[in-house]
This record gives sequence, structure tokens and C-alpha cells, in this order.
Amino acid sequence: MLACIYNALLWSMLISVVLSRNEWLDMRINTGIIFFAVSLVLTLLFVLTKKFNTFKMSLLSLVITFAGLLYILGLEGLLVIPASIIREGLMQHNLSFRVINAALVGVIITGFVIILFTAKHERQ
Amino acid sequence: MKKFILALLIIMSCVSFALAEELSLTIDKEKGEIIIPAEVNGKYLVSPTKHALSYFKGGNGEKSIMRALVSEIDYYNALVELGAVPGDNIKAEDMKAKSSAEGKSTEGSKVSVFLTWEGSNGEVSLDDAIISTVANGEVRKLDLRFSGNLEFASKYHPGCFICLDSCAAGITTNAAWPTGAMNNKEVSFKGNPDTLPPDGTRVNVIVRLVK
Repeated sequence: MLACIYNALLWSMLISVVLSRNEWLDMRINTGIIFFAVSLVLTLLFVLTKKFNTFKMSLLSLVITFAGLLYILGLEGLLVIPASIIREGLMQHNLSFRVINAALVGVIITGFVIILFTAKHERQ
Repeated sequence: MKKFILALLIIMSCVSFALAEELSLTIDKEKGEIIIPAEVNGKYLVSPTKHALSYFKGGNGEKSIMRALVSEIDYYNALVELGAVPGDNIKAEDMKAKSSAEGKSTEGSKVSVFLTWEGSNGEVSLDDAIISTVANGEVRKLDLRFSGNLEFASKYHPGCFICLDSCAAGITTNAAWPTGAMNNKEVSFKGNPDTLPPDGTRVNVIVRLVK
């Protein structure tokens, strides 16, 4: 279940960033709400299909989505756009990018470590 | 339990948004200027947008280079108080123009816009705070006008104070770029990170009536 949520969050961030790169769309939709809605839909999809519930898929998702985000946004954009999407979705304009980025990195690393240990534990 | 936490998060977001700091604008009739408290939105120092300044509670509050901490209706009334005359010549259907050649430029009293913030070296003109990328390379200076659009603003609450092209929604919009220019990708705008302070910095937006 955790791996499904983890993978859903990663892929929905990539999808939201791709959508927000379209200026027409970015001016008309709340990309943060798109992020949370797509996360929910993908989580359900991944739970039902059971294909993203593994460490291997989580590693693959992490590498592909990170590479995709870096390619689309560059390093400067990577430090701003994902955080701005979360901020818009939460409607918390006072939150700084630094705080959101710290939380994002925390979630990504902690989630990955838990999935790794869960996979090891299941193998034993 | 999960539903409870989710509901709590949503309620907290809504409450803090509703209680967020709201200030008032300053009108100086002698100088013919309005000072609007605002903050920089760092997203649009790296991404394109058509909004220079929008009310943070309006529909475009998070789509703008700066979010105003006062309402656009107060701004409209302040401009009228200074004696500015609204153009009110751009309608919603004009926004469907496919190019600037088909489009329409806003009318209304001319204004100039400057910014200051703690640590700024005097006033910075809005022209210097914006980067325009023009398809044919012909960069145009801002020609900001009191477009009016009170009816649209009151009905749809987009929150637009300053749009960077001629627009049916903004209180002040840019006559230098007619409607249709952005639809046709003739021009795009973003904040200038070399001039503007970082995300979240409080700025004063000074709007002066040009006589």
C-alpha cells in the first residue's frame, strides 16, 4: 500500500509539472489540486493493479520521475515548481519553498527507506 | 482516522486562507499615487505568466508575479478617487482574438508602476522587473492603462490588478500588447529574478497616474 501511494505521488508530480508547463493551462487551473487529485486516482489504480507495489517499481519510478523533472525544469526550476504546485494546492501562500522542499525531500527519502526495509523483511 | 486527518487538513487550509493577512492600500492625492502592499511569488520568476499583480484571494491570486494583499475593487475605487478615467473598451469576446493584428488595445488613463522593498535601491520600474520574450524580437515598453473592468472583476473575482497584455479582466492592463498577442504566442512574460527580490518578500507597488 505504501509503495502504491509513494509511486502515485511521484508520477502525479511529474504529470502536474508537465501540465503546468503549458502556459494556457497553468493560467486556468490550480495545478496543486490536480496534483492531489491525480495522486488519489493513481493510488487507487496502483492498488487495484498491484503492479506498483514493489521495491523495484518504486526505484524505477523514483529514477524516471526525478530524471523527467530535471529534464523539464532544470535544477533552478526543480527547486521552485514542485514546491509551488504543493503550495497552490494547500492554498498556503505563506509557506516558503525551502520548507516545502525540505518536507518533499523528507517524504521521498523516508518513503524509499521504508519501502526498501519492507521489501527486505518480506524476503526474509 | 485517515478521513478525519484529511478533513482537518482541508479545514485548516481554508481557515488559514480566510484569516490570512489583509492590509489596506494608501492613496496620496497630492502625489497622485496609490501604494499597494504585495508579496513576490517566486514561481513566476522561472515560469511565464500574463499577470503582474493579483489579489491573493482572487482566482488568479497564485498566477501572478506578485500577489496583492488588498482587494482589486479597493484599487479600482482608489484610481477613480485620484481622477483616473477607465477605458472599459475590452470585452470578453475580444479576448478570443487569434493574433494581435485581430486584437484590441486597452484604453483609459495612463499609469506608471514602480516597486520598492526593504533593501531595494530606490524605486524599481515595473518595466525593469519584467522580462518580455517577444517572438519577433521587438520588445515593447509597458503602456499601462486604467482599463476599468469593474463589472467583470465584481462578477468573476479574478483578482487582477495589473495584466501584462490588454485584458477584459484586469483593472490596469497593458495597451502595448493588444488582445490576441498572447494567444498567438507573440509575447510571453515572467518576473526578472535579477531585479526582483526572492519569493515571499514584501514589496510596495506604487501606481502613479500619468498626467
